Amino acid sequence: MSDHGIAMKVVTAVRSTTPPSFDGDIPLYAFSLFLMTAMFFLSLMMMGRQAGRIWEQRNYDHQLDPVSLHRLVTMFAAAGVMLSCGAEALLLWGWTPKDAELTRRVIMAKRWIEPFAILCALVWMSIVMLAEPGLEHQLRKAPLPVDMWSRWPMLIRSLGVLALSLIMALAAVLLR
Amino acid sequence: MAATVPVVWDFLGYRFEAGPCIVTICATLMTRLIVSLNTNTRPRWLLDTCITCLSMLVAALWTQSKDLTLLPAAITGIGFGALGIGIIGFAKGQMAAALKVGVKTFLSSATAELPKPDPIDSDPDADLLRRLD
Repeated sequence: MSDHGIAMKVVTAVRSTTPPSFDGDIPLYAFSLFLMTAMFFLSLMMMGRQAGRIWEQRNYDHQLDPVSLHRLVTMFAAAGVMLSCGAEALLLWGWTPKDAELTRRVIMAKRWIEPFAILCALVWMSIVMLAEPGLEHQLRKAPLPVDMWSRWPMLIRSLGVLALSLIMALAAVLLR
Repeated sequence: MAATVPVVWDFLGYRFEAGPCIVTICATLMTRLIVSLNTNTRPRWLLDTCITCLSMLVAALWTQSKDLTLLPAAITGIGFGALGIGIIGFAKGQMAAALKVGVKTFLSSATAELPKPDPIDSDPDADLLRRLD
């Protein structure tokens, strides 16, 4: 069946190095490749970090503490971004006229993964809605400004991921 | 802007496609950056650099030998980056298995007396000629 699928027919008919929706716009393809790859890795890092924090602090923070809920919400948001950007990156990287079967598979993978990404967003929004009154009440108790700028070195790793993604996207477009 | 013909580098007589090669190396580096080096322990710069270089080398050679397109190349890079120091253990296992087979073959050929094949019976041409007679 897979040899005669509609997706396969489209892929073999197009024979383009970029997905047809880009209409041959190579800079837009490179930009998309860069951001989708970078956001996939960054949201993977964020999700792993939040999951690790929840697990590390499981004996100290109650599961329904504001801090635990905040971590959970961030984790699900990151998971949604990761799945969505990951599926898109899979499609962008996998699109190749050399291998129509691979191209067909990545298109189908995107169609299957994206609904689950949206379900992660649904969970995140539900937790925010359900926790809103209790969370806001407790967060107002000690409203001291948060010192954010002393932690900027934490972003160096993210900048490295961005730079590497840019190099990858440019290499894929310019040297292929 | 885009290369219509793939850029191919020639390195020591081997054919390296530039795009997949750079993508593999960057993917390995990225995986090392976000997974393996993301620890709170004391940084071991020399060891980390060596392992990263080893993973990049193995991943790039794998991409070259299999002649991969972009997505398989990126996934290869991620895989070897995630393996990290495990590459050494994996290679050791492969090497030990190959060595075992080699030693076994050597010992069996050295001890066992091989039956000498009959030159006429085993030769297919001779067999055919005899049938023709």
